[in-house]
This record gives sequence, structure tokens and C-alpha cells, in this order.
Amino acid sequence: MTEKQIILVAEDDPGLNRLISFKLQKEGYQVISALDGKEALNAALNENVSAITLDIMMPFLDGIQVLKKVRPVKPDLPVIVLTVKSRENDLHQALELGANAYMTKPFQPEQLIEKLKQVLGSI
Amino acid sequence: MDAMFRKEISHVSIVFNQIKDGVYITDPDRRILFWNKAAEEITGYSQEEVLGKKCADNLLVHTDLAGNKLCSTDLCPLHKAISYEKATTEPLIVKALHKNGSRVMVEVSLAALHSASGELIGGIEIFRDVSEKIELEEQKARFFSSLSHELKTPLSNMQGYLKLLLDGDAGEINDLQEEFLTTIYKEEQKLARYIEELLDMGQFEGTDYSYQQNMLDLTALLESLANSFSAEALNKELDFNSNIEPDLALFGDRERLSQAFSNIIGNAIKYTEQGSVSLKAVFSEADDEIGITVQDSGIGIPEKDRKSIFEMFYRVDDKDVRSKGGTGVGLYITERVISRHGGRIELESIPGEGTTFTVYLPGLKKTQEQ
Repeated sequence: MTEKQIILVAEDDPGLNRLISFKLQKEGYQVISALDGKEALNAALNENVSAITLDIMMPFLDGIQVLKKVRPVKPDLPVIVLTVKSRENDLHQALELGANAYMTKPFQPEQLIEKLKQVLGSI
Repeated sequence: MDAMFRKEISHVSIVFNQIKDGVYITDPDRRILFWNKAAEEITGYSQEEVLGKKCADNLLVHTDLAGNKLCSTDLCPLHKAISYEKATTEPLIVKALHKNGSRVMVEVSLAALHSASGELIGGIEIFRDVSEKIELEEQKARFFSSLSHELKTPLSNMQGYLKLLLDGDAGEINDLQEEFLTTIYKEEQKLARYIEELLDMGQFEGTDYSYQQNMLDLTALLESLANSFSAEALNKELDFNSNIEPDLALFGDRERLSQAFSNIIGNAIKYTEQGSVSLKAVFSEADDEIGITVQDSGIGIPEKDRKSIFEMFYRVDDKDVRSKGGTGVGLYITERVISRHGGRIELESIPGEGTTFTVYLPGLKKTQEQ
């Protein structure tokens, strides 16, 4: 494998963030973890990330606001949003703002990795 | 007759004016003859303003919770009560118009009125303002939804970490460690399922006021269930047939009916190892009833358990049943939902050969004009 792809994991639940990050690293990705929306936006704009897994409910800036700010700058960056089933409106909004895919919580890390490979076009 | 009826009304008016529920009495043509004090308070209209009018004359103009007017004769609950002489068995929740243009959530009960000689002389509607109760129930629903998220997240994370350990992603584990971790993993899955079912029940228990009562397309609802369950049946190599009559409709709560039918169909698939599961829905004109039948060729339900399976937490004491997991909440919820819709469930079963559940619900078949 050449240069490792960098995935930004934006998720405010530390347990889930570490779980996703660990699994991604096992799969050969490099990971940047963000535990709130501000960190996520900062990393999304300033780092050379290949994709984002973006939780919607996060402190400071939610995933929707992050997406709104990132999309104009990086229109082709694959984004997978993580949502709770009961918040369908969030999901609709995220997809309208150009999210490429979504996962409904709770999910297992393997499911997320499969989806990630899809949006990265590597399967 | 009319004069006598009016005299009787004036006698009971003293009582009706004391109670907190809105009450109005009409003649057989639904023209208002009496309108009590509580009705004045709930709607803003005084008795003088409404006498001789119909409730559709810009007075209550009931709508279902989605805002569809119920004043066309076929849908008007008072018309139904008077013409078919059918009193409401369960109160309906509808929205009524206030004089100031706002809408008030009311729970209505209706009946036809007869003279001593049995002649139809009018109708009565009793309505109660339930706006506050509904607000409380909505709060409760929001609470359960966030509680559900809060409980599921750590459980799901635990599953994820256990899986990492079991897959050897965090280093090799020995056989005994694998055995114990597997046990934790399975127990954790059980716990997650129980929590899910209990949360489901929490959302149903004691929340009668949060029932959405709208005109709904039952055919579409059942077809979409058939669609998702046929995939599940296919996974178990079972035949899944559905035969749903077009244009079936009823007044009810989509989410809850969907859950009730999912429980029955889900059980049929869960407890059937070979053969088939079928779903059928037909309208009976004679009874104004829709019959929904779910038939399976599964393990069946022993005679002694047939009554109890609808009780909360009841599970048939059998190792094949226990091995499938579950808390015994599904059919309890189902029975509650169906009876809340004025329906009933019938059950036939031959152990070892299969089970047939039939749900009867008051409903209608939409004609072209509707």
C-alpha cells in the first residue's frame, strides 16, 4: 500500500470514536479523531483527509453545520453521516447538503467500514 | 314528541351544566338542541349562538389529527352514531374548532338517543379537552426516544469492543478467554434485546392519548410489511404469501398498528422452521370489519397457553420457545393496540402443525368517490 488514506472520525462519544478509529487503523487507514464539531471542522478544512465519518449530534457545532461549511470548500470529499433513527429530519438535511451516505446508530464498525469502502470507490 | 324531548332536555340540562365535559344534544338531522356550559368554555360559542345549527356549520368541524375534515356524512362520527345507531366503544381523539380559530384536541364519545318507545329522537356528543394530557404524552414519547438512544449507545459500543477482542484484533486470546468473552457477548446481546422490548413497552404503556387517529391506508401498510417480512422469511427458506385486498382503510394509528402486525408476522416467522407463512386481509361488508389473517406452519401454541400469551411477560414454557429469546412483551402490546382500535384477535393453533392469528378491526373499503 502506498500513502495511507486519512479518515476523519468526528464523533463525540469517546467509546464509539475510539472503536471506529481502532477498527479503521486495523484496516490500514490513518485516522484523525475529533470529539466535537469545532475540532471536526478544523481537521476537515486543514488536513488532507480522504473521507469523513460525521456524527450529527456533537457539541459546539453539529454535523449539519460542519457539512455546510465543508461542502463549498471540498465538494467531492466523501462524507458518511451518523444519525439516530428518531431524527429523520437531520438525515434529510444532511443528504440535501451533499452527504454521500449515512449510518443509523447503533451500528457495528464493520458496517461502517463497508460503507466507507463504497464511498471511497475501493470496492 | 319534539316538545317532550325538549322538556326532557331542559330537565337534564341542570346536570349537564355542572359537568366539566362538553355535551351537546341534537335532533336526528344533527341540529343542535342543547349545548352545555362546558361546551361553551371549550369552544368559545354560547348556547344561543349554536342552537339550530349543525356542528359542521363552522362550529366544531372535527378533523382527525392530521387535519382532514370529518364532516362528510360518511366520516362524521355523530352521523355514524345516529344513522347506524352505533355508540362509540372507545372515545375518538379529534380536533375541534374554537371560536377564535384555534384547534382544541378533544376526546369524543357519541351515541344515538331514543325515546321510551324506542323511536330515534337524536344524538348526543360528549367531548373532553385533552390538549394538556396529549402534551404530557408527547413529552413522555420524547423522553423515551432519548432514553432509548442513551441506553443503546453504550450497549452497542460494548458489543463492538467485545467483538474486537473475540476477533483477536487486540492480540491473541486463549480458548478459555474466548469462551468467557463469547458468553459475555451473548449475554450482552440478550440484554440489548430486552431493553429494546421494554422501551417499546414503555412507549405503549399508559399512552392512550398519544394515539394518532387518522384515516389510514391499511392496504399500503400491510403491503409494506409483507414486503419487508418476505425477505426475512426468505432467509429462513420459508414461503411467504400475501393476499391483501385493495382500498382497505381505517381510522387509527399507523405506527402502532404497524408494530402490532409486525409482532404477529414476526412471531409467525420466528416460530416456523419449515413450510410457509401467509398474510391475508379482506373486508367484510356485513360487519364493516377488516379481517387480517396471519397463518404459519410452525410449532403451534399449546391449548393451555392460548389465553396467557397476551399477558405481559408471558412466555410458553418450552425449550424451543425459550431458545428463540424474547421477553413476552410483543403480543401484549399487540393486543393492547388492537383493542384500543376497537378490534379483537382470534387464535387457532395445532401444536406441531401451525398457528393462525386473525385480527378483526372496524374499517372500510374506500370507494372511488372517497
